Amino acid sequence: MERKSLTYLKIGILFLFMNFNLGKINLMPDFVGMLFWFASAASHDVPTETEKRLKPFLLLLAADFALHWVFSFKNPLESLLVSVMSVYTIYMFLGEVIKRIREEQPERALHLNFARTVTVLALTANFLLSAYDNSTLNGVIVISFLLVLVFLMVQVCLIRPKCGEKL
Amino acid sequence: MDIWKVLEYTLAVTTVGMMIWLVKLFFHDKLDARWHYFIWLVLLVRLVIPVDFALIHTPVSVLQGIPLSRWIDLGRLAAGRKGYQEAAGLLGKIYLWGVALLGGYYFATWLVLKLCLKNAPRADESTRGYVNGIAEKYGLKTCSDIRSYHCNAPFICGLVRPVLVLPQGRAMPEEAVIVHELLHRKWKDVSVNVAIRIVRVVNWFNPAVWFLTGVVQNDSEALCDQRVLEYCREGMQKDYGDMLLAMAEKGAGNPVRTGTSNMANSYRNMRTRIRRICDFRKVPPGIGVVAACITLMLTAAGVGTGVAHRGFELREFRTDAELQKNLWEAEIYRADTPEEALWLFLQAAAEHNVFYRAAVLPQRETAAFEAFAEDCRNKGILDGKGGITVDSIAASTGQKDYFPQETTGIWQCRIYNLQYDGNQGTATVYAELGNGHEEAQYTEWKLELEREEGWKVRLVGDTGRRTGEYREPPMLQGSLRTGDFLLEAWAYNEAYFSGFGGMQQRLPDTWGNMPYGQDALGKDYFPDHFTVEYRVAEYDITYLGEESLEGCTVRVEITENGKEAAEMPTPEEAAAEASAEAAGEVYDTGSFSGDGYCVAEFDGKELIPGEPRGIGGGGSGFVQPGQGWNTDTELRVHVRIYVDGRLVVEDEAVAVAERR
Repeated sequence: MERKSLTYLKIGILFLFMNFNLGKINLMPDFVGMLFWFASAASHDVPTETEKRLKPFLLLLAADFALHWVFSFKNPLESLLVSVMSVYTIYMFLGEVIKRIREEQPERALHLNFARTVTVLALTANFLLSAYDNSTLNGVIVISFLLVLVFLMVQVCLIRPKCGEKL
Repeated sequence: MDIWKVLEYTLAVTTVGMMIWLVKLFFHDKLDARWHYFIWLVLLVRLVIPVDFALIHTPVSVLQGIPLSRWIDLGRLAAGRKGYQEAAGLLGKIYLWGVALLGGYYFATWLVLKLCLKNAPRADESTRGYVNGIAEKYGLKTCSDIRSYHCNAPFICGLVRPVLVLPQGRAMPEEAVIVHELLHRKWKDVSVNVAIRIVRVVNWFNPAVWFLTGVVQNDSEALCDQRVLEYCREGMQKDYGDMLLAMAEKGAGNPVRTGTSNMANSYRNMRTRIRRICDFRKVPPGIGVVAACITLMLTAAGVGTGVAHRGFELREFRTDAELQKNLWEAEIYRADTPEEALWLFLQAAAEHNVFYRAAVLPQRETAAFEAFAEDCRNKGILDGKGGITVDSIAASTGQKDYFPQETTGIWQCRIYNLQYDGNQGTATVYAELGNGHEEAQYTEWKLELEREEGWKVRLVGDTGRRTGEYREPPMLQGSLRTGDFLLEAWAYNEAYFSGFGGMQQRLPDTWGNMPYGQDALGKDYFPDHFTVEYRVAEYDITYLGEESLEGCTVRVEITENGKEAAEMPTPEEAAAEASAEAAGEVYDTGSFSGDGYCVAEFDGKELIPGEPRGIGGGGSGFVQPGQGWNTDTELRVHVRIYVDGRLVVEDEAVAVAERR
């Protein structure tokens, strides 16, 4: 995987899954993460068909996250659409990363494949269960989710650029 | 036919269908034809299940954000108020006529086709051989009945004994076309055609449903196209797509008929089918996981019923129209439990609020109540939030049935003996008035509850302002004359809501969920059960003998419902459990009581012949509803009376509910 694209990928995942709040403002907004991922997809020398098809989703999600960063609102239909698109985008985008690194880093690819599957399942569970008012269940979901995300971020950060160069 | 129920149903179907269609738009080239077709099963579930049937409660339901039930209820109420009930009834009849006509038309066309096919010539040997050869080549089941008929393209007709119909007088259809029809037969797509007809009949007046079912038909054809490509040779997408286009341009498609595999042959539909063919094998493999996750999310959103938000906002009004709207919003509110209805009634009484009162007023009284509210507004005694601003509503308006007479300065409310079954109930409310009076002042209200769409409350008894000691209304009562003593026992339930005084200070944090509070969005919601309900038993004893008991130590021990005397704690043990203040009381009076027992020890001079003397009483408190006494239970007590340590009476008494 190209160094530039990998850099954008890594920075993007940090913005997507880490929040640093100063009062009510998140200093690591999700929409920046999505834009970095868009940049990652756009910076490949030869983008795949799936990456081309994912670009509109990445931009849409970035726009939605930006709106949420500025305004506070809740809409069930919008929430559903965004959740569905997020799950698909994360899974497919990371799937393309896996394909790109599989030849040079097969073990990393395997770990990343596991991580993205578990992440997507955790996101789905979070969507379905977190709205119920059960503190125990919510606690379990939050902790599991955190562990999964940490695992995913570690796997992504451990990816080496093309030709085994280290950053 | 209730046209409102029909409207609610069709709107729910439309909402879920449009949600699915919208998601499919986003994923048109990202998920394969199978997913695009089978995701419609979510809509099928919604079609079959009534709107208000809570299959599963999911806070992510698409119906959560679109309050269909509320809109329908408002519409029904508005139509009723404006005198459009007859029009609504007429619309219901028109709807039924539409169902009958369209259903009849579909049935008739199917019948005509069946009769025509019955008389149509069977295919000759070479044609049969051609078709059977193709079936054998691809491992598909052929049709035993193959007919020739005046049509533009082949189709399958019938579900139980399907007939393959070939165009009469035309060249033999291409292999892929035959495979297409045989695949329709294999996957019983004729049943989808029939189901779509049924859905259209039921929703005949809704153009959105016609549009959505058209999309389903197209998706069915697109999936069949994909299956053809999977069966046939690699790389034949272009040939197959060219063939479909040629058929469309020549008008070679068939009209869509009931009970056949003809689904979607218009040129516009061809565009979708061609696009799917082009996307064939472009959808990346290994997307089963994410497709399943998306399906789960859509299922939860489409099939579930949103979690009902208990409560409504009191919006400030300025005009008559706004007042009416607020009243209607309140009137369509459904109190799910009798407790919630009681809470709303108490809130209405404490705040003199017409909206809270309207929310639990029986439907038959709401029209008159609206006139009452308008009258209050015209008199200038109704504020912007619906509160009547006079102390005595009865005196100012002459109206006694909606609000209790005395409501000023309520600082504590207790609810006694709430009893209900599926349709009706009763309760008594004790409201303490003011604070700081030398003598306690209170009022008592008798309430009847009835269940309509939600629970409603009627005020059927009102004592007005009273002073003195309040005697709790018994649910169970009984007496026992034994020897020179008369024992009277009675039991009642006493319940509280936090926020109505009394219990608020004494409630520890561990009582569980506070029923009245705010949800995650910061919106107030109404309680659906009491904060706490106590089950209490109390006793009086009356001495009827002639000899004075002055100077004698009288001890009365009462155990309830089979509790053994040996299970009662000693005074020292009881004192050790109680707080320091209570321990003082125990030693002073020699009496203590708890769950299932009561003991009193005192000088006999306190027993004045013919005058009842309170022994004591106790009970247990519950957070969960339904733990109190009810009219089917009985209180059995075992009583022992000792005079100067000598057992003089040992007997049993029963307290039961008064039978009406």
